[in-house]
Amino acid sequence: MLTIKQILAIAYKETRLWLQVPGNWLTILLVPFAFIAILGSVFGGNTPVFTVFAANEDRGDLGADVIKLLDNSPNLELELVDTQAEADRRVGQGERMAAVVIPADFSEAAKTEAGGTIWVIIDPARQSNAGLVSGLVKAALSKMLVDASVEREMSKMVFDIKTGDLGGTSSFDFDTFIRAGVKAVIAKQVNEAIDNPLIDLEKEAVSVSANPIEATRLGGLVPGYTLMFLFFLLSHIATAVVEERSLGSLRRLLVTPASKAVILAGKMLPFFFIAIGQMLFVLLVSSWVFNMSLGNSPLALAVIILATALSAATLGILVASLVKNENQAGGLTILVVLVLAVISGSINDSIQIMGLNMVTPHYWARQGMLNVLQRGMGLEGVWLPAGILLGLSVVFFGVGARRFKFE
Amino acid sequence: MKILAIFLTENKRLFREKGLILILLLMPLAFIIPIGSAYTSGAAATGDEDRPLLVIDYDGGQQAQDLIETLDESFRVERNLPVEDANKVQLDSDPDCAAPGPACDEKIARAQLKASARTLALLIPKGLSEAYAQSKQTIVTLLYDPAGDVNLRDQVQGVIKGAAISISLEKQVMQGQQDMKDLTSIAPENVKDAVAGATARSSTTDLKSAIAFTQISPSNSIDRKPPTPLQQSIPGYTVMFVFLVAGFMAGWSTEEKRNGILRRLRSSPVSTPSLLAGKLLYGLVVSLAQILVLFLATSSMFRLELGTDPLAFILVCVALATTVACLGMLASAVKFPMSAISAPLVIGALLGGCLFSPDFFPPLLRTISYFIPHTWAMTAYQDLLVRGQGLAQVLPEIGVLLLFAAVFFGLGVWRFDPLD
Repeated sequence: MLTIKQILAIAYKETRLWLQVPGNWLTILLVPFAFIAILGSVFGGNTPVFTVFAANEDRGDLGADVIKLLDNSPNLELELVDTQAEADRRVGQGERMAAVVIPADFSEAAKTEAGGTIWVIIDPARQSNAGLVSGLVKAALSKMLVDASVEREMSKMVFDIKTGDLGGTSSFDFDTFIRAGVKAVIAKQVNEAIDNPLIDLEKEAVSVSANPIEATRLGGLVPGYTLMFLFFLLSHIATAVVEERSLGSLRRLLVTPASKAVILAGKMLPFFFIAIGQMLFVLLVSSWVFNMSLGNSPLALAVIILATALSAATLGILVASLVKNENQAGGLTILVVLVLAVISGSINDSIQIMGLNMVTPHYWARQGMLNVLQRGMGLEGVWLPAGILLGLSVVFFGVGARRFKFE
Repeated sequence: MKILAIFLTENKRLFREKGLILILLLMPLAFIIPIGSAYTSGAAATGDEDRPLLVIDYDGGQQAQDLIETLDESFRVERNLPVEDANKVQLDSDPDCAAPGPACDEKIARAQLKASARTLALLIPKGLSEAYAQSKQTIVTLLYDPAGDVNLRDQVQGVIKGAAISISLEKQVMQGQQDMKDLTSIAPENVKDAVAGATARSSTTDLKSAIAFTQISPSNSIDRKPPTPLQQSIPGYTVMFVFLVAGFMAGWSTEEKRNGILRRLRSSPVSTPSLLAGKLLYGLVVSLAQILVLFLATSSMFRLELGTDPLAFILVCVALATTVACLGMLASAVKFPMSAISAPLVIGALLGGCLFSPDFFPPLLRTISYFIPHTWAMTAYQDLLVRGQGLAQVLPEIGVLLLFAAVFFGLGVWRFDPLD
């Protein structure tokens, strides 16, 4: 009982000290909020909206129709420029990743056998996203692509019919009749094929959970970035300890009846709660503002949050036991945290070192969070990650306490 | 001279701290090696055509085959998985897996998806071709791991939908021909004959689409080789890492204040601007060393091409290092807790397009990104490394970076108090 009282007393003092520094609040609330706002505004709607330049040099109707259709696409935002040269120059300077250019003779060329060409200028520096933009442009114009081909074939067919073949019917009347009829028929069929194709697609999430979540881009990104920011707390813990060590207050604590382990536990406890608060803040705001699912099991989510927070706080104690001065506690610790985030795949899922990632707490915390938030799993999805995180926490605290120097 | 003396003092301090130099050099390597590996031989380097897509084909008919062939143009289609795959997911005693086939494929796929060993699988149901012949709709199912790669899932979904529409169109057009016949049946005989004759003459074989798309690079793009994923990604990660060095610089100065070193220096005949310039020079050298280690390691280990203009490259590196050093100095001058500097810098990296292309951003965020130094450093490196441009093209970015540096330095001098 006395031990708990001592831990709480030290934790209370530590919390007060930490809260007195306004910059700490910035890290704990404002920065995660800014991060969610950015990610949410980009990926909250699942497929992001791309802004591209568009230049229409065509004098016919077809060019204007293309621009109109692109403008109506929910995933494309057009920024109109006057000429192809301007679009080329501005994409070349990296202002936008792509430009759609309709050349001067487009309407006429579309009627010929060679066909008309829409140029898509792609910035080579963002080539990796080129497929997405080209796909969105083609999708927006899909009905027009078929219509234009039908129109061209029809013109050719009508042209091939000699006026003499039509008996008393004038070629103008025939042309009007046949175009109206065929267009109506073809438009119906094309619309049917695009809107209601004979082969349609549905998705099925396959998970251990009987009730999987509809996975989203935001849901896939939030756990990794939450963890990256969470582990920045290491630097706070290390800095607080180094400051106290240099001021001599750690030495003064040693003359109290509290043991070294109790002192360290007291120092760790506030950061454990701060970590919980930060994770809850990020997840709740993501859920409330951007409708991100928090999974099917609040209990499983709570378990993985607690285990993650404990691993972050204990790793902080370990780091604090290793650093000697301010610049190691601040700048260098952050670089280490960044490296851990990269290795574990928290920054980018496809950049992680297989095998080595498993020794980082980030990896297990992320797996647990993904199991709950994306795969819709319950306790069965967190017991292993949480268990490993607890094991890591014991190691971190044990080694940290052993190495910790109070003077 | 005094500036140089301050610079040398800082260096002595750096070398006195055991292991610090080693950490400063090893950290960028530890950061860049996983990234370089991923973009040259890992998951991030895999092209779409190399990405596996398991197709579970219960139909086996012509339309299913057409769909599979279309998918095979974009992905590496897998079918009839070997029995060894079944053994790996404990299906060796399952009667469906006695021989390869769709039933076994589905069971393996579901087991692998649950274990996150596979991201996607497409299930084509029995009767698809028969339903197609009767103009009835069939649903194909994309099985996916909810925690898998969302980008890949979207791509596969897009390709499947496109292929499905294309296959549907063939059928619909055939239906349209029938409608056309019905329409012309009300016309006089000679018109019917004329239309039938013209339709017969009209052939769509080898005909180009009326509207085609051609993807091109901007005319100022000198390097015509398609950029590698590594070339496209390294500038962002490098800039993000280097700005975090500002946190180290701030810590360095804060420690000096705490130890009273600055106070002692002020008692020497050194003016505040000389003192700060000396420290700035030191910060510049440390930052520049980090940048060069990052780029040279990536270049030598992963064959990253550093552009065609070495002078421009060096100048961009120096401008970036200056900005980082000045930012570090400002951070230490404004009494900001050192531990709270890094997280906003990561937000800066996000906004500066180091992690996602700014093209994903809504207009407001894109405007904000112009006020973030990361954006300009990124653009400069992309100009050199990916767009193959030279000094003339990166001068504006160098200018803006130095402007940021001047603003940070000015604010730092204004707020700097060595006695604090």
